[in-house]
Amino acid sequence: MTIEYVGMEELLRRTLRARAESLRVGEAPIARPDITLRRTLSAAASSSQRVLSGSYQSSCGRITTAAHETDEGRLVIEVASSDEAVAFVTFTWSVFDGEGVAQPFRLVTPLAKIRSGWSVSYDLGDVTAASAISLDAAEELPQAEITLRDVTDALRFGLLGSGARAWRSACDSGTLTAEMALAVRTKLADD
Amino acid sequence: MNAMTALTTQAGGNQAESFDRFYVRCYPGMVRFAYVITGAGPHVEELVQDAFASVFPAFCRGDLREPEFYLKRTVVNRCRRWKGSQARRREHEIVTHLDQEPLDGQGGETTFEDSVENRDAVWAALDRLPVKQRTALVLHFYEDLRFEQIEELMREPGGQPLNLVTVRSWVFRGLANLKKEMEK
Repeated sequence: MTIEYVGMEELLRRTLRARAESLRVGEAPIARPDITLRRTLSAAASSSQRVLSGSYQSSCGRITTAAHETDEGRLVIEVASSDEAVAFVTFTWSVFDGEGVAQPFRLVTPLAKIRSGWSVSYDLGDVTAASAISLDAAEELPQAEITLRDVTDALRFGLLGSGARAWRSACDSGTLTAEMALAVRTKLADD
Repeated sequence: MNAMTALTTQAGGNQAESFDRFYVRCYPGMVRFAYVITGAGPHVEELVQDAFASVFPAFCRGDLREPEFYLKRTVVNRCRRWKGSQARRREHEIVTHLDQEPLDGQGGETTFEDSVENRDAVWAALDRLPVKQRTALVLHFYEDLRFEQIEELMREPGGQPLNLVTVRSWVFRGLANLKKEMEK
């Protein structure tokens, strides 16, 4: 190996470039709205000031996500759109435990027809033990990207009336594969 | 991070390039640039994101003729402030000492072996330089900028122009100090 001698300027130049190149730079953060609901705020909820709720827009502006924690400490979301073209949406959230460790979740769901557009609500479970909940506003999901796993995962959550109607409607419209439709019909029959 | 993720979704006022694209295009280079100015790996991404957030309003209003220059100047100033706050006392001691040193040019004829050890030594020596010297050295030898360009970047926003002799002295004194450290 050849030993090279260089002036101070060149050594500095090489040092700076090598150091800069050695730095691992993460991807630029993904552009998405991020919402954090703090569990501690729910203590104030019983005094009529329910701060733990909000309404958030998707990046396309056509889908609204409203989330709140019930008095019983359950996380409930409602996703709505006035655009008929929005058939399915995906929604992700993370529940942080007392030590700040996050458990991520994802929900894929169709929307149900209501008088003023399309909407669906879900009971996402008990969050009384959570220290914080981070939510992303729901976004449209192309039908072609929906998997059987998405469907079975969604059916594990508490389907409120609109959720059941939305899935039934998706079955009836023939937009789901036979496997997906079977899973939905079985779940709805069990309920 | 949260502020930045929210900002990127709302941006888009600039005609030539959306803020999203500007951000994705410039982010890695700015982080590396901030890293060589500060030497502070864990903090530089936050510094750079703050700088992006700072230029966001003017960018979206279309007020920036050269957004990258404006961003770079913001990064330089934030890095200098951060670096200064980390080592203000030590810097004061070094400056007091160095101001008595003659300005002896760009490092003379001395050469050094281009080895890992020497690069590590240069990197460590950079950390002991006053903030202005280190910043000027990075701008000159990493960004390959002329003294006039360095002056524009290191000038406080809205502040008076710096004397070019001062800028030159930061570069030359910085080099001389590095050389002195290497010869120890």
